[in-house]
Amino acid sequence: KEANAQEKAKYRLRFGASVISPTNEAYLRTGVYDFVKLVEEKSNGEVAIQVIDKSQGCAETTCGERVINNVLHIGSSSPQNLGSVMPYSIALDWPFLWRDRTEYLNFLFSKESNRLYRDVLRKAYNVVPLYGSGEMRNVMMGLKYSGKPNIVSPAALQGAKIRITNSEMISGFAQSMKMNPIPLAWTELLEGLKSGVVDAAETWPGAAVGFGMQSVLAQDVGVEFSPGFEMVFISASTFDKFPDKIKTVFMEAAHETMRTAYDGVTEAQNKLVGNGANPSADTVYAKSNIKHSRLTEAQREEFRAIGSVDKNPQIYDATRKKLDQIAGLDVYGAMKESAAKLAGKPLQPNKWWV
Amino acid sequence: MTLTLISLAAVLMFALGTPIVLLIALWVAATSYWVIDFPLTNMGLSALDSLKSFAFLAVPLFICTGDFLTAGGLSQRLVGLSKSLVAFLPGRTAATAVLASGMFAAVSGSNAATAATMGQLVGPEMKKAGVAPGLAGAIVAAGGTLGVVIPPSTIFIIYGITMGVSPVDLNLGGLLPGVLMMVLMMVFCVWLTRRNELADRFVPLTLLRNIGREAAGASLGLVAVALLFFGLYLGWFSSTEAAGVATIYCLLVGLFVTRKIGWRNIPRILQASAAVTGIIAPMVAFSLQFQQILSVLEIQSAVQELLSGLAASHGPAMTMVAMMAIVLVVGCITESVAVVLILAPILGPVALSLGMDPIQWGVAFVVGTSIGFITPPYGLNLFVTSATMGIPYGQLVKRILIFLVPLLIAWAAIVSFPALTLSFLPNR
Amino acid sequence: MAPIAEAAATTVAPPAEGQQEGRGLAGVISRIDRVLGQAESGVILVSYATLIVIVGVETLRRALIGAQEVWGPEIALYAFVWLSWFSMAKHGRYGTHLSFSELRQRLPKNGQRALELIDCALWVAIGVIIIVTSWGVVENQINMGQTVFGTPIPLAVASLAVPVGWAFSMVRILQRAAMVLFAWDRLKAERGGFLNL
Ligand code: NA
Ligand code: NA
Repeated sequence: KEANAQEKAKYRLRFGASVISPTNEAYLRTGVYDFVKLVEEKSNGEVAIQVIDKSQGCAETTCGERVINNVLHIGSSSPQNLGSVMPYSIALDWPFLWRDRTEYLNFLFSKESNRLYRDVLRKAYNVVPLYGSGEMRNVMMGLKYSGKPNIVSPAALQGAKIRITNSEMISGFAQSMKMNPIPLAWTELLEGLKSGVVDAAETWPGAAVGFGMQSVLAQDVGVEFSPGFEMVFISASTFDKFPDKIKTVFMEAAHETMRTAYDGVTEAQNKLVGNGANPSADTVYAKSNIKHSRLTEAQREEFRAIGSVDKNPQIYDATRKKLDQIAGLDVYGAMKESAAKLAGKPLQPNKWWV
Repeated sequence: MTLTLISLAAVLMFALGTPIVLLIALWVAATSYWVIDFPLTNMGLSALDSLKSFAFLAVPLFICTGDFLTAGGLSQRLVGLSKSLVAFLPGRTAATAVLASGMFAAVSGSNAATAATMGQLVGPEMKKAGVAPGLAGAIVAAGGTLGVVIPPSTIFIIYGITMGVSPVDLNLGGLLPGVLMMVLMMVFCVWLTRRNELADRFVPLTLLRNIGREAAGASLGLVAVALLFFGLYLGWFSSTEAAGVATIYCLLVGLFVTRKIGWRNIPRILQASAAVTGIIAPMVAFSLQFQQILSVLEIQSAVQELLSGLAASHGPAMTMVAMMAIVLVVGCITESVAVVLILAPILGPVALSLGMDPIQWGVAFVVGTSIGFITPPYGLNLFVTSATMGIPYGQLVKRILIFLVPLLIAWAAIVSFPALTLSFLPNR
Repeated sequence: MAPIAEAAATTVAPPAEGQQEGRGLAGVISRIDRVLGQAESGVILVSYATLIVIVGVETLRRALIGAQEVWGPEIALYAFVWLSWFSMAKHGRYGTHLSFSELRQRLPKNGQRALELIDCALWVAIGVIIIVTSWGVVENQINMGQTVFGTPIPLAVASLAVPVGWAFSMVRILQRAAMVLFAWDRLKAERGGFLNL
């Protein structure tokens, strides 16, 4: 039956869903499987998408380049991991720009996202960003911190060794917190958090649990410093060949997925992960004894006061110049204006492309 | 149909001696182009990003640790220590070859380096002890499998990267299985060459004195072993870091303590290590693409379904035996790196679904591929020993089969008893 | 010390040093071989040393004083890519890629030569694909202004390793093909001297 659908389809696309699998999708709620189903349904089978997941088609750090070069048509990856191939992808990641995930997702729903993000990526790298789903990034402490009291201030992080990857935003954050950035491969991260080669890692809770870090984590410090999400994008050369009808199908499906995945994340936070507002008794955090240090607004303000981009001009100077040059405008300044407009609003699922 | 033709052509060319890495590359290009309409750009991309993993840096480093160890004269001292430890046994020289392989393997991550070094260092002594050349070569080739099972191991690192499990856990998990393989092979060596060298008088005091003397001589090498083991076990280093530190240690000892390495020799030693890297790296790049194509063709899920069906109808034990048979058969004709990159993603999820620990299966899988180093027609260790010791390949093949017995026994034990792999892991 | 390290290392030795370089065409050919061999060995040496020094020293720095440069791994990784493809080039020249050669060695001379030439042609076919496609990737990186993380070095300098390494490999393969055609006996003699993995 599936083979028939494939034959009937006018557009057969390959989707490199990096490391996502049906198993970790329960925690991550990236919505990739829902998205594919929606596109196929809404197009009445004219589009057929083969999902190549479980790192079998590409890895977090390689999906971007494969889509840029049209090896795969659609890809997913966190903007942080895309950074080395699409430097502008990290333009939402400024530490302490957004207060919560609703704010940056509202930005992705807004028309502003075209001028400040989507169009820039399209022009610079020939990819069309579709949607994003995720949370905010926290600092995750390794087993060395078992039994230690909750970390509630930047002072308690000072000097700790934090694992970083190739994102200037995150290494900037580590620097501003006076932490020690240690580059470590993903395969060595779990071991490192266990043994103390690194004291901490940064990621969002759904990803931490989805990728099995719970056995080596003692504490989740709710700093919520920067967006942590999977972004789904399509090659512009593929997209541009579609008739308008199919283009609209993709946008509608992306819009709907971003909205439902938002609720999906809330559900997973409460029922499975354990970092939600009303977690059930048998979440992974509860079962694995991961302390969740929920910061008060005053405590988060203390982190923000030390770590914001405005407070650390020298750290972010080079990054700002680079991104400004790509977009041809003051990126951080413009993002800050958008963030101010969206601050504190509930989810506003606007159609950014209309 | 096209796929079958391409694959048959590849098998034919394998038999006619075309390099394996070239065949994998050709299969990838032809299948991409004619079968799945997959852009060839993927080949250029993969040539870069398949190698760009920080964990992978441990591979070239664990290759040159062994080369520096030998150049610095420390491998010879490990052989001396091994000899003193088994001095009273019948067939002691053959046993020494295996024991010394194990000791060298505790510093080097490469099976080929292990077999080549032991062929050089112990080969002549086995000849003197009257061991038939074919058998001597088989002993060295079989001992070489320890290179990738006793930590550190390049294959554990490649497996870890491929399957997303900790290379450190895999390496530590390989310790007891490696020792088990070593002991069983030593027992076999003693039995096979018992008439060449009769048992010596067992004088505990003399024996201990000799062991003490040799151990003192080998102490610098033993420090490297300890540095690696405790560095990983106590979590001082990640596997790449441990490799870097061990390389620098072996180099500095050779330069300034034993003074057997001169600055001017370093280029030559590194060229030698690079030759192994030059084989492994392209193999990784193209095997990874081979695996990507299998997933586009959805062959992985087909095989997995087949195995899950087998588990449902015949039970987990039968499935495990089937998977081991697959590893063994594929290992007969393919390079170990390719076996890991292509088979591990297929079999790993099935093993886990049978309730196996990912580290235990990882170690068991790599032990299986290490047996591939000595199974004809394509057995890397056989080629290495044939070349280093000047023994015709045919003679080796005749004598190697007996070594499948201890290795298969060890393998079955590793699959059956989780404690062998899991008891050395910290924090478990 | 040399003999053991050299022999134990499971490898290709460098082209026999001090061998007489004859006059005329043969002389030119062996001089080219020497220069190419030196370039190859040079890249291998520099990249291997870079990788050892960066990983070793950075690890000790982290272990002893808790500091580490974030660009260390990136540079080491690119050194590794250069090392990999230039080490492959050497195997192309000496025919020491892993293969099952038992049957081929039993074939008559011209059969062996024909198979060698087919291998060379196939290498070139793969080489062309990789050089062209990886060059496209490098061009993309130049256009997008990507740099090696934590440094101002253009990413292209690092990723050029693929097209350059493969182009160099192709030169070595063509060199081998020429020897198969015109200097078969010398090629065979050479082979005997090395560990043929
Ligand atoms: Na080893
Ligand atoms: Na084999």
